[in-house]
Amino acid sequence: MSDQEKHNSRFEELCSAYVLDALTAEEQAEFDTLLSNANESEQQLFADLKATSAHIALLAKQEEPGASLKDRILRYVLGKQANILPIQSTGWSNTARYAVAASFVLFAVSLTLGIYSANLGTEIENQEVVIRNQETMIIDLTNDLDRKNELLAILESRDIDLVLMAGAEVNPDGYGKVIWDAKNQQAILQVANLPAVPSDKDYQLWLIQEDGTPINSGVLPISGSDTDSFLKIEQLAPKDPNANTFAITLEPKGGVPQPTGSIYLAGQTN
Amino acid sequence: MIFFAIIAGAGRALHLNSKDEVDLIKRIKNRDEQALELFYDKYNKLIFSLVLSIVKRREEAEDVLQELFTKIWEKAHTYNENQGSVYSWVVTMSRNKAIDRIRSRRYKSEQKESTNSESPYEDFEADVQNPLEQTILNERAGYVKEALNSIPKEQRQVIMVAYFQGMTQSEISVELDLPLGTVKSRMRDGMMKLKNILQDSIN
Repeated sequence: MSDQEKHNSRFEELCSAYVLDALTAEEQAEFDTLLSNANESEQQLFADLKATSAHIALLAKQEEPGASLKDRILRYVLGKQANILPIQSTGWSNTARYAVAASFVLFAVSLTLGIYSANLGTEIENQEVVIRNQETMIIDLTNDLDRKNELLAILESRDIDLVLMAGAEVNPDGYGKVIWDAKNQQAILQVANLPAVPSDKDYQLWLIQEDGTPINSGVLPISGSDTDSFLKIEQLAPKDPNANTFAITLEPKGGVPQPTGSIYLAGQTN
Repeated sequence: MIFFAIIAGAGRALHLNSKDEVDLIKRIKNRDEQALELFYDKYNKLIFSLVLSIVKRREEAEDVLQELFTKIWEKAHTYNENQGSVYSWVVTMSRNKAIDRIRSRRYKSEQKESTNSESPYEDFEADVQNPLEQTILNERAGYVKEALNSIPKEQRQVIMVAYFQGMTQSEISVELDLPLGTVKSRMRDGMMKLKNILQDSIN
């Protein structure tokens, strides 16, 4: 056998096994080298044997893949490419693209509505705060108006006494005024320049009889201030010709039946 | 001689590289989804049958099919009309993928016992008398069966074991208890004869 015949025989042997994928890695490398240097007839032999091998596939037992496999594969393959599709169109892909486009439009509309809704929600919250503040203001004004009406009702009384109170030794700058509606057992108390009240103390109002007997007229809901405070005093003791002096003392928290502390303001009816 | 004349005549009908198929690949290359769907319709049964005959399991075969169509979609531009038919290209790709599966260490150990189980391919010695009753695809298969049936049984055996069981010549030598040289010569002689018989269909 000549060298050429040996070469041809070797080429046929390796080529036949190569197209059946039956070579070892070393033999494959050897054939790759032969193929890269192959002449035209050898290349044709390789193409023919490759096609021959492919024909054997027809002998596989005929089997049908699952009915859902087509959809699964097309969805998988085409789905992976959704962002680079496509040059030519089909009914199915148009539908898909319209769906994608529609979803983007819906997303944009939803986003806009969401932002608008969020802004609207914030605006509503702001307006609700304003409304609550205005309601509070209305309540305060209403209360203030009621209080002033009550004070005015006392001032409108035809039988009132005016008692001016001055600061005592411990509070020389103090000032007070009582507009006393004895008939209705109520009064308006105006005070100013009272020292701040310690946390365990309260100012207490007394109506003092001529003999010096004090009548408890209630704890004052004030904490002391330089500015004027106006208070309505109710349920004062009935008018007594012998009781004509008002005094304010600083007493233990909650008040006491008999005064124990220093007098901060005091005044007598004319 | 009469038989070979029939085969040669039938071989022209086996010429599978039609213009339609080449156009289909070109359309796939141009990202035509409908072309991929048509390609699936045309080839799914053949490819699935081939892959299943090698990997043995339906779910495994379906996975391979999915990988394969992904590759066709992404690598259609690698097809070269001058290097062979579309049929040859897709069948070779399918078989290579199936063999890659069974040659993986995991799969090989799982499938070792099934090597000698039910034959993965048609009994090509049966039905040879009546190929016209089959579908066009089976008719083509009938021609190939006849061609294979015309070569010596010993040569046919090593070819079929290599093709459908993905064995190398060394593995076939062990499997069939034959000297390696005998396996090589039988494979070469058998393939060369088969090529000559199917020559017209290939060209």
